Amino acid sequence: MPPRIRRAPARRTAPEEVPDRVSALPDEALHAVLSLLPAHDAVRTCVLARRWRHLWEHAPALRVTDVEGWNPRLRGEAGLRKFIRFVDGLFVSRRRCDAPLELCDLDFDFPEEDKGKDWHVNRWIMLALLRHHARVLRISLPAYVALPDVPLISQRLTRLELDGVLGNDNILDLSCCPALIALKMKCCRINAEKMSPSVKILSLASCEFYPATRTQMSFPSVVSLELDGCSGSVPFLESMPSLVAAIVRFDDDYADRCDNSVLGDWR
Amino acid sequence: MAAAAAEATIDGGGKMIILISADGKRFEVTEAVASQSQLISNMIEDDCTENGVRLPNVDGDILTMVVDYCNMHAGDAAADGDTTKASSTEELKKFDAELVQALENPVLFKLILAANFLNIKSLLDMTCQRVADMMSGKTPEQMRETFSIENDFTPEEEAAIRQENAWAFDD
Repeated sequence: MPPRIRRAPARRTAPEEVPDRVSALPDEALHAVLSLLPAHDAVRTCVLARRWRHLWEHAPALRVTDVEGWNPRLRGEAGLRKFIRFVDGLFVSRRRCDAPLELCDLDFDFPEEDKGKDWHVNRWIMLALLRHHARVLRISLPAYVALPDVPLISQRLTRLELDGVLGNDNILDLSCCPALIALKMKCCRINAEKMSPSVKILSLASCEFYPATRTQMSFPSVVSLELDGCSGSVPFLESMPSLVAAIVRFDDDYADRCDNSVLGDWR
Repeated sequence: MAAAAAEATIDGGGKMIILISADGKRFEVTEAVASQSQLISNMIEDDCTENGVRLPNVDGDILTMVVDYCNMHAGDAAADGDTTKASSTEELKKFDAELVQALENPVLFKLILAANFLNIKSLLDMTCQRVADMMSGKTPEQMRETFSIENDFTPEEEAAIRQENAWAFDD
């Protein structure tokens, strides 16, 4: 059998033969490039050339971005199924890589009416932490996905950023994440009676508290605290002996705001 | 002479280090500036910078840019909590943006190689971001064209990989 011509017919060569500088970069630099790309761009580099076949799987970051941005033509039920298959595929392919994830970013807009969304997202969170040992986990889901009602377990997680999720007592316990330094929550609904993670940096912005009893907050190690524009039932802050800097700002939406006060003081 | 210069100190008492590029150009920088390179920081710790640090795979013109970058960013770690930091951070951002945007492709890739070799994470991230921006949103065909990447798969091989990873290509 004659040797196969190893050149795709679609290839177009620039007339002045520009050298391929990007493929000449060392693996570490290409991993850095791939870790800055959204996952759907990163994974498709596997067909560029042999050099690129498995590179993306070793990138230290996985950035899963918006489902509609990935594939605007496929919305609705079929688009959602493809998206779920896509994210599952990312995690399965990355199994070949032993290096832990530095960053896992789940930032997409699930249709609010989808019943299975919590289950899928919770599965991916567990994979990111337990299988891929993510150091930084960012979850940004405007559809108010309910997080699992079990504590997160990770020896490696240092930073957790949550945007648009429902937080319960178990998930906000965080005592099984001993390396956690920073917890940042934005636009979350917090239904927890107690929050006492041992973090140094804590930021809660535009969150809504609605527990059956007032949320009791105790942050023995917190150095920097930001409690900004939250609503619902005002949380009870316990002593914070290590605090250095704090921003505490309330808006008009607190359930227990004193309406008789001219200044709108809260009790 | 190199040793004398390498041991020179500035008024503040910070030790000076001589960096020597592949083409023999010499750069005198403070330890604080040079330590942004993890490679050089380790060499300082191991006490092996006295006769200057030879960088056989970094050209003088690239090392000039690296040294400029490190000079601009030397205060980053020390300035934490400094009230004047906000304005200087803005200036730095502008400097970084201008630096990276103005780069021609060959220079950009040389700078990535230097940042990777010297292990300067912030410079590596910044330069790699520019490459990522050039790839983002493109089809594999467009990526190949942008960077002159030769497709060394046979059409059958490429089809098989696409099939195997249909979940990522299934538009």
